[in-house]
This record gives sequence, structure tokens and C-alpha cells, in this order.
Amino acid sequence: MLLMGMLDQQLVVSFPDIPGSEVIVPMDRTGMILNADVPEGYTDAAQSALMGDHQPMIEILRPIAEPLIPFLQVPEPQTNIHALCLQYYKALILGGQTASAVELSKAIPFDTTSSEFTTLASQLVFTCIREEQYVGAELMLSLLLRALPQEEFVEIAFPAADALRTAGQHELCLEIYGSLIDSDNPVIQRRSLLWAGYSSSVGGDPAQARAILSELDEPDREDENFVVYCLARGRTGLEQGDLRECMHYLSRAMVLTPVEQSYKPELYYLLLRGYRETGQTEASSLLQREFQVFYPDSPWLAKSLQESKTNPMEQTL
Amino acid sequence: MSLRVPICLLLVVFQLTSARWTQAAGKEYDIAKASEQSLYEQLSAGLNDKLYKVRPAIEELMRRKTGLADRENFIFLMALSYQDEYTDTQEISLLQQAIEYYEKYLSEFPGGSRSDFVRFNLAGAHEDTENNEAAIREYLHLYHKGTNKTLWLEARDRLCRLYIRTDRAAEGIQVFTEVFNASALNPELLAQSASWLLQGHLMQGETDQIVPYLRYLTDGREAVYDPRFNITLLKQGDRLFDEKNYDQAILLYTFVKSRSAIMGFYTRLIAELEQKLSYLRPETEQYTVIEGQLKRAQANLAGVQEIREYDVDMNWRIARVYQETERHWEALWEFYHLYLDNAEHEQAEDFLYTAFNEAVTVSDSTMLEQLAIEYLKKKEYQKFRRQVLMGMAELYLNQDRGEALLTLVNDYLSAPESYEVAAQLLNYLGAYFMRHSEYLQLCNTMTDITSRHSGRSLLNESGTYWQGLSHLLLADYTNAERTFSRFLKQYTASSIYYEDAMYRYGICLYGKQDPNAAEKQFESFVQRYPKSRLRGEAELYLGDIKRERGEYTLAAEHYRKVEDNTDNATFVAKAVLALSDVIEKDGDHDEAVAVLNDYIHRYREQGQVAEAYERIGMIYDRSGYPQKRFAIHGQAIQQLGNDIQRDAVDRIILNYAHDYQDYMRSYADSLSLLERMLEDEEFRRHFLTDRAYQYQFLLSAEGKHIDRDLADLLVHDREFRRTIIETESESSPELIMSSPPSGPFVTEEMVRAQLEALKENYLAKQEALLPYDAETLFSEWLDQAQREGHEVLAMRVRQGLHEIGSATAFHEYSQDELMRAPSAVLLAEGRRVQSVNPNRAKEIYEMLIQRYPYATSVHDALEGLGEIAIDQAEQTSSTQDWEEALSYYNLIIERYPGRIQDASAYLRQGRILSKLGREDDAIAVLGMVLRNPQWRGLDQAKAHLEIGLAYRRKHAWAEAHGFFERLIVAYGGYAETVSWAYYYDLLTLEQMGETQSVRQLLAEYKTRLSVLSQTTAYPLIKEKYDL
Repeated sequence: MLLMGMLDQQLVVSFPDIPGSEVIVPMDRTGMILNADVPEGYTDAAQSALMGDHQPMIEILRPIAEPLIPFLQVPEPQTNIHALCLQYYKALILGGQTASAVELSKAIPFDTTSSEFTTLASQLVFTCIREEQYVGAELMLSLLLRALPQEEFVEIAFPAADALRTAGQHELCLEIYGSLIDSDNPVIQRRSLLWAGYSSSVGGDPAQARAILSELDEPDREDENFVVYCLARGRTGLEQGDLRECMHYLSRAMVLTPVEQSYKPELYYLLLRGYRETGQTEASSLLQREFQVFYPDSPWLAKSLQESKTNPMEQTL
Repeated sequence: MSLRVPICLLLVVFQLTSARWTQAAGKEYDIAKASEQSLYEQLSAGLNDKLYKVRPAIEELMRRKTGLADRENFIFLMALSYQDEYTDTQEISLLQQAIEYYEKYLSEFPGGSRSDFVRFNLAGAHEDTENNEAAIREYLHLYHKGTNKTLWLEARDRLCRLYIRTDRAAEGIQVFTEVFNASALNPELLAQSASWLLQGHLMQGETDQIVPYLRYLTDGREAVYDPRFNITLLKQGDRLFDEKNYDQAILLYTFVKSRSAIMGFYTRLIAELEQKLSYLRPETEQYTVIEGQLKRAQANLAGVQEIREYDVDMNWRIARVYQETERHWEALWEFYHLYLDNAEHEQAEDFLYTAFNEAVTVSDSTMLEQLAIEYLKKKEYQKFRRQVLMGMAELYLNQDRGEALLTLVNDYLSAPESYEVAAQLLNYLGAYFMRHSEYLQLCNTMTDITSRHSGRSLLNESGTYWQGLSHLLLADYTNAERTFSRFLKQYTASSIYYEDAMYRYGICLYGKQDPNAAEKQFESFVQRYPKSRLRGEAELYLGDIKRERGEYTLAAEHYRKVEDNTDNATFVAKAVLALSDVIEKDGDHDEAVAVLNDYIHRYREQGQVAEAYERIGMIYDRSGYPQKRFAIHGQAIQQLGNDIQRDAVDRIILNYAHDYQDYMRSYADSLSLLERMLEDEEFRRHFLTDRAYQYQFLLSAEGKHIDRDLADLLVHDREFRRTIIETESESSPELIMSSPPSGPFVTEEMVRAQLEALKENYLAKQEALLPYDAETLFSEWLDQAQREGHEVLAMRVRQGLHEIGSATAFHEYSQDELMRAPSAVLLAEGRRVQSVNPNRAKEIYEMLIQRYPYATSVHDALEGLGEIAIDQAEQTSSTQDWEEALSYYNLIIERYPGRIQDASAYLRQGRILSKLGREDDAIAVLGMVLRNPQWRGLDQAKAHLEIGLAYRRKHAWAEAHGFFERLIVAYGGYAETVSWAYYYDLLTLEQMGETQSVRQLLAEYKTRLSVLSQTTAYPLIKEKYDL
């Protein structure tokens, strides 16, 4: 029996010895199980993967998992292919085969697979960004946008936008926010608007940022968008030379943003600029030190250090 | 804690048979006699139920298997049974039993198949009995020698946690490091091990060693929510804080999670783990692991719930660290959030005030104001009320928000809690009004305040001082003198205003034209406050007083002291200029010039060098060296003319133009006279001998410009006159001055020789000035300035050419050019167009005021605006236009009382007020004219008239009559004004029904008809009273 594909949650199979034959097998009946054989060497491959070498897993699973990807529509309790495909997907991502992983993602029905697939997909987004494969990142985000509920997508999209902004991909950033501006959820809508405003100022259009921000009332501190609002106002102020506005808002964002927040390095960078441009060398020096300790690998830190070299008053670690 | 053995494992170990165990009903059971099979059956049942229920069977089997390999199983089961029973009963003694059997196992079967498992459970049992040393030992053994991967991992984790839990983190550093190094692919474990290492190094006091690990805690992992970790960070952070190691302390504080955050995290985690457990089978390893995590999470949650709320303390520390490390912006928000989140806290007031102070430090005026308002709204907040009030007042002053400042002060004064605070607020208010030259407003405000708060309080003290100062600045010396006199009597030298008041009082006396009293006052001031910053000014006044008295030498002494006793460059300049003046008056022209040259040399760009050059030139001029004057002034014009700030250059140019023309005309007319005297003998004789003719000639167009020295020579110098009047042999009755020759005989030739010599002299003078021809030089300078792009100089020189009447002077200035023109040029332009295009003139005057708010030309510009406004108001009669006119005169009087030469501004102001129906205000203003002794004469006569008319409009007939009468009596010489006084007084007396007085007044008027019949009022009186 050959698996041909899926048709509206039903398997399409054919029999090689009966040419032209095709059978529709409904998978929503009790007792219907679709199982694939675990290939030989799987255990060893798993062991290798545990040790960080994912290549064996990729090799032994590729012939099996790739063709089975479309059949992930079969619910997990009725098949074992989810686990196999998951391992394959994971191996591709962790094994550095980003392009292949992206390609595979196109066929994965994220709306029906487990959250582990989504988690991996999210990881793949950031991998693409890290490897400067922005087309791949964009594709992944599009897939996830279609597949996931908005509240879930937002948890990936905003951090991804942060990473893209760090990488200077402002247009893609704005696309992400743009996709959420019309959300029915007012919190998401507002947040997207704020980030869009912020990204405008980052992208060199503070006037547009100001126009966007002027449409919004300053939220209360308890509002979950408050910190983003502060960030946007502070950044816009910095770009427009209004250092009082810059320091007023960025410093407030700084004290309200926990260290684990994805845009915290960016905030450090901006506040450092603010302290430097207002001539507060002692404060900027200490802040720079803190920045280096917490985020030694951040591109924002590198940028800040580069800029501090042009400032003779700056004393850094 | 133990690891439950999966049932399946036991089933594999034990080969169960289908034999069943039965117990004979009713017989006493002797387990020693039970068959092995029945023992196994019992055991099987226990495995499905509770092991400790079948312990006898296990024990019996264990005993029977002594020496055999199987015994291993039963020792293990014995231990497990006790552990299971402990789980149900929590009796520690049972655990001790379990420990005993685990140890027995390890002793008898060190290499047994379950040795890892047994050791793991043994360690767990030690933990439960709090024998941590033993537990660590066992876990370490497993860590170093264990072969079961799962157990090894779990043991490693438990070991690390035990090190932390038992405050032995320092001992665990090596293990932590090994875990850390092996965690590259496990971010959660990486973070966890990083947190362990942090704690380990902190415990060792190795603060610097933690730095590389901090970055791994920035991902929001479970590790950062561990309560013990947070407590360690807090404690160690506090230690660093106390050591003033702030930048290290903040690194730790940054990671401390709030109690609520930790509780939230574990609540969520517990829910997550419980859900996971519900999907797992209890016998699986994963179940055991998750169960362990769940218990740990529950323990952590319970632990943190027992901790008292520490968020406030922690946030306060963070805020303090920000403060200490100059991160004032962040400190501002930290303190503010502390206040917002803990409004009922006993230190809430301190939080708010500290945030306010930080806002002051960073000059965030928005927050400063917001926080101040918030603080002041709370009546119970008193500790820092004064500082907050002062901070707000300073903000409003710096931002020029007069209304807000006034409101703040008035609000406070409605119920002042401290007169000291109130006094300080008044100082801010005073400073604001002074800055904006709003002296009238200052006066009104302070008068109102002192009247509401009379008595010897600090408030009254401050208010009185400012009140006096405002009177002084308004040139109301009478009221100023009265106020300062009262102040000096009421308060002593301990008052902070006393020194200043003493000095100001001297100025009041000087302004009231009582120089002797002023001198005494200033000398007293200098003696009392020799090091005062006002001493220089006092010396300046003393110099002026002595100069006015003609005591030039003494005046010079005072002027010389000014520079050493003041930092004010303006006063230094005044003193230098005055010093040169008195030296010149003393007759030492060279020294006077030297003083000015020295000033120029020392002060250069910072000094009023244009004024100094101007003075030098005029000294030469007065010394009889006009060519030197024009040379110096020419240099000054060229060197300084393009500096827009040098207003004196405008004066130099205009005077140059004017005076040069005067000189040349004078010389020309003098030469004409001399030539005519040489050519026309008859004229010569007539001129020299006929005084009346002489007088007429010198007043005529031909003679009025003749050089004064020549006129003196020809008219008054007897010695010289003898040499130019020929000796007459006969006296003629026609000659008024005929006298017999008293000296040598003077011939015509001798006369001619003298006159020729004079003529040569004047020709030489004329020639000496030719190189300084104004029109030629100004034209050259204009060309040069235009070529070199010195626009300001070009404009100024053009003004000079205009003054001369040169055709090249005309230039239609574009708006752009006017934007760059100096104030004098703007003023001239305004005046030029005022009569033909008043709107344009108004624009120009307004431009001048805006660009040069402190220039002396502003006064003239305001006068121009006032004139335009009055003309406009006369045409339209609209209240708005009169109000506009009034506004200008208000400004002139308020800001330039010192520039007012006569009372015209006050008279106009009074008139405008009358037009607006504000008679009382008009009377008050006109009253100031009467109080100023400098305006005795026509101005005061006019003031009397206007006041009388104002009272008439108020129907206050008696008052009106009083003023008219005073005018008639005291100012009789001003016919025009007096005549009007007669007219209105007659009408007033009629209104009062004083028929007899009317008749008497008319009779008096008639006696003065010879003069008054020429006045404008006469026809009206004549017609009405049928004179």
C-alpha cells in the first residue's frame, strides 16, 4: 500500500499491484492508526543528537520523515509519525540546515500539530534572523501568522521583530507590526501601533513616529503597553534631539523592563546614548559596564562600544 | 525523597508463579515456618499494595537468603518498605530504619545491580532526616562513580541544590562549574548552574568572579525565580551596598525578583507540572522526575509565601544605588514608583520628595511640577514642604511663568505656615518682576501683601524691601524714601535686606535731590559695609555728588575706588568715564585722555570702548583740537562700526556729521566776517563800536554761527579790541563808544594786520579740518564697507550721510536688511516713515523692541509707538485704541523712569486714562508729576490743569476748584495754561453756586488781560462772561 496523500483529513492510498487504484481511508474513525516503522539506528542517532551531533538523525529520518510531513494532519493519537517528523524537524534546525528546515516548514500544518512544532518553528525564525536569512524569517513568520491564533503569534512576532530591528531590518519589522495593527484585540492593536511608531523612528523617520504616537494617549503605568510607549517616545525624542523627552521616557522604560525582556539590550543602548549626549559621563560609564556584563554578545553593545570610542570622555571597562 | 521502583522492574526480578498463598483460617501464623512460595505470594501481594504490610515476609526471605545473591533484593525491599511506610506516616524512625538497610545493602553488595539506586535513595533519606553531610556524601559518590545516567543526572541536580539549600554553596563551586561547562546545549541548566555559581562565589566573597555568569540569567529561566537565589542576591547586594560598592550592588539587585513575581512564576509552573503529571503513568521515570519538580516548586512557593514582603526595601535600595551612581533619571522613576506603589507606607512622603529632588537634579520640569503639586496636595506632608515650595517657585521663575508663580505665592500667603517660607517666596516673585522690568506690578503686589501682613514678620520685612525697591525703580523717590526709611528703622542689620536697603536709601535721597543727605547715607553705608558688592556703586554715587558740587578732586578719589569694589562692568565703565570727566574739568586734559586710553587698553572687547573713544574725542574737541577729535572718532567708526552691540558708534557718527558741519560753517562765517571787516571799513567800524548793531548782527543768520572764540575776541576782549579799532582824532556824537586813545596809536594798517592774522588763523583751522570732511569720509567708508560686506557699518555710515543731507544717503531698506540693522538705524527708519506710513513705522519699532530689548533706543521706539497709537485713537475714538496707547506709556513709565526728561509721558498717560474714563487712575498718575521736583514749572502747571479737569469729570467740584486755584496762584508765568485754569475754575465755581467767587475771579482775570488776552482760552471766557 502506498500513501498518496491527504484529502480533507482522509488518507489517500493506492495499491501498487492494482494500477490506478486509490482508496480513501477516513482517519476519524475509531481504531484507525497510521504508524511508520522506526528506522534502524534511530536509538544511536538519538544518542548522537543528545551529544550535539544531529547529522545521523537527519540522515536516517530524511527518507521517512520528509514524505510523511503532509500526513501530519492525522491527529497525533492516531499515528506515530508526529514524533518522527518532530525529531527530523528538530535535527534540521539544531543541525544548522536552516534552509532545508524552512523549506520543510512550508508543508507542516502548524495549526494541527503540537506546540512542540510551533516552538521549533519559532526557534527557526530566530535562527534565520541570526544567520541573516531574512527571506526565510519572513516566510516562517507568514506561515505562523496563518496557522496560529493571534495571541500565540504575537508571542513570537514581537520578539522576532526586536531581533530584526537589531539586525537593521526595519522594513520587515514594520511589516510584522502592520500585520497586527488591525487586530480585534485592542491590546495587540495598540502594541503594534506603538512598535510601528518606534520602528519608524529607528528607521530614520521620527516625524512619522511622532505622527503615530500623537494618535495615542499616554497609557497608564499599569497598561501592558506602557513600557513600549515609553520606549517609542524616548526613541523619537532622541532622534529629534529632544534630550529631555528622550531621558524622561527611556529611563522610565529602563526601570520597568526586566532583564529578560528581548528589547532590554536595545534599551540599554538608547539610554546610554541619552546619557552620553547629555554629558553624564559617570552614569553612562556605569551603565555601559552593566550592559557589558549582562549582554556581552549583543549587537547593541557592539554598537554602543563603537560609538563610545568617538566620545573621549567615555570611560568603559 | 526516594525514587519509586517501577512495578515492572520488580515483576522482572521476581518470577511469579501461579501458586497462591492461603492462610489457614483461625491458625496462628508462624512466618518462620512459611514456605518460600507462600512468602513470595505474600510479597507479590505487598508489591501491589503496601510493601511495609508484608515486611515480615521480606525479612524472613532476607534471613533465609543470607549468603546468597538473592539476599540483595530483600535487603533492598526492606529498606524500601520502611521508606514507603515513612511516606505514609512521616515517622522519622522509619527513615532511620530505611537508612540502616540501604547501608547494609551497600555494605554487603557494593557492586550490586541496584547500588546506584540504593545510594540515591539513601541520599534522599539522609536529606529527609536532615543529615545533609551524609546526603552530600552519597550524592557525590553517585556523581563521581554512578553508572545509571538518569540517577546520575538527578543526583547531580540534588547535590547542587543541597549545597545551596544548606548554605554550602562555596563547597559546591567545582561541581557547579562542571555542570555549567556541560550545559552548553541546555539553556535552562545553563542558567541554573550559573545561578549556583553566582551563589557559590558570593558566599566566598568573590564578587568579581560572578560577572561572567550574569549574562546567563537574562533569559527568564526558572533559576532566577528560585527564592533562595533571590535571597542570596538580596543579602549580598545589601552587603555591597553597605560597603558603598554601588556599581556591584546594582548588578545583583537587577536580578532580584519581586515576591509577587516569584509567587506568580511558581503558581504558573505548578499548574503546568500538575497538568504534565496527569498525562504520565506513575510508574514511569518521567513521572518521578516531574513529581520531584512539582514538589520542589511547591516547596519554593510555600517558602516565598512565608517571606515577608521585601519589595519596598529592595526597590529602595535599587533607587539609592541609582542615586549614588549618578543615574538620576532612573532614580527619579524608582522613587516615584515606590511612592505610587506604597502610598500608605510610612516613608511614602520621603519617596515622593526624593523623586522630586531627582527631578530637580535632572531638570525635568514636567515631573518636577507634577511631583511638587502631588506633594503639596497632601496636607499631612509637612517634612519637606518648604523645599518643595522653593523648588516650584524656582521652576516658575526659570520658566518665566509669572502667573503660576503669583498663584503659588498667593495660595501660600492665604494661610502661611511659615513667614520665613513666605518671605523666600516673595523673593522669587520679586526676582521675576525685576527680570521683566514689571516694576509697577511689583509695587502693586508688594504693597498689597505688606498691607495684608503688617507687623514685624519676615514676610513683612521682605515685602517692605521689595516695595521700596519698586518705588525706586519707578523713580517715585518720595515713596521709595519713605519706605526704606521705615524699613531701616524697623529692622536691624541682622536682616538680609539691610545692607541693600541702606544703599537704596541713599539713592532715594539722591533722587529726591537731597545730595547732602544722600552723601551722608552713602558714606555711612561704605563705612559699615566696606566689602559690600554694592560698594562700587556707592562710590560712584559719592563721586557724582561731589562732582555736582564742583569738588572734582574728591570726586575723582571716589571714582577710582569703583573698579576695585564692583564686578559690574557697566559701573566700572561709568566710573572711568566720570573720572575722565572730572579730571578734564580740573584742567588736566592729558590725564583725562590717559585714563580713557588705559581703560580701552585693559578692557578692549569687554569694555565700553566706543564710549571711551567718544569721550576722548570730545576732550580734544573741548581742548581746542577738533581735528584730533575727528581723527579719533573716525578711527572708532571704522574699527567698531560693524559691531552691532556698540551703540555708542551711532552717536559718534551722528555727532561727527553734525559737528563737522557746524565747525565748517562756523569757520566759513567767521572768515566771511573777517573778510568783510577787512574790505568794508565802514562795516568794521560800525560792528566794533555799535553794541546794538553788534548784538543784532550776531543774532542774524550771518552772525549766529560765528565761532564763539572769535565773537568773544571781537566783542568782549578789550585788549584785543584796542588793537583793531583805529585811533580816532575827533569824537563823533554818533558813536556810542568813543573814547580817547588810551594806548598806542592804532593805524588802519595795524588793524588790517591783526585781522589778516586772524583770518590766517581761521583759514588754518579750516584747512586742518578739511581731511576730515564728513561727507567725503562717510562716502568712502560706505563704499569700503559695502565692498567688504560690513553691512552694519554701511548702515550706520549711511545714517551719518543722511544727517548731512547727502543724496547718496537714501536707501530703501528691505525687510531682510532691517532684520540685521542696529537699533539706531531701525529707530531712524521708524521715525523717517512715521508720518507717512505709521503702520510700517509701527512694524519697525516693534522689530527694534523685539531684537534689542535692552537697548536705549527702546524708549524712543516706545514713544514712537505711543504717538502712533494716540493718533490712531484720536481718529477712531475706540476704547481698544486708547488701551493700546496706554499700554505703551505704561511701559515707558514703568521701565524707563530714568530716561524720562520731562513729564510729557505722564501727562499723556493721564490724558489717556481720562479718555478711558479712569479718572482716579489719571489723578494718581498726574499726582506723580507734582511730586517730582525736577518737573517744577510748565509740566506741573499742566498737571494741575489736568487733575482739575479730572475732578470736574468726577463732579468733585471742590477738589477741582482747589487745583485750578493752585495753578493760578503758583504758576502765573504760564499764560496759556493759567488762562485755561481761569476758564474751568469759573465753570466750576458756577457749578458750586459760588456766584460771588465767580465775580471776584472774573475781576482778577480782567486785571491780567494784557497778557491773557493772547491766550486760546480768552475768546471762550470773553464770550461766556461778556468781558
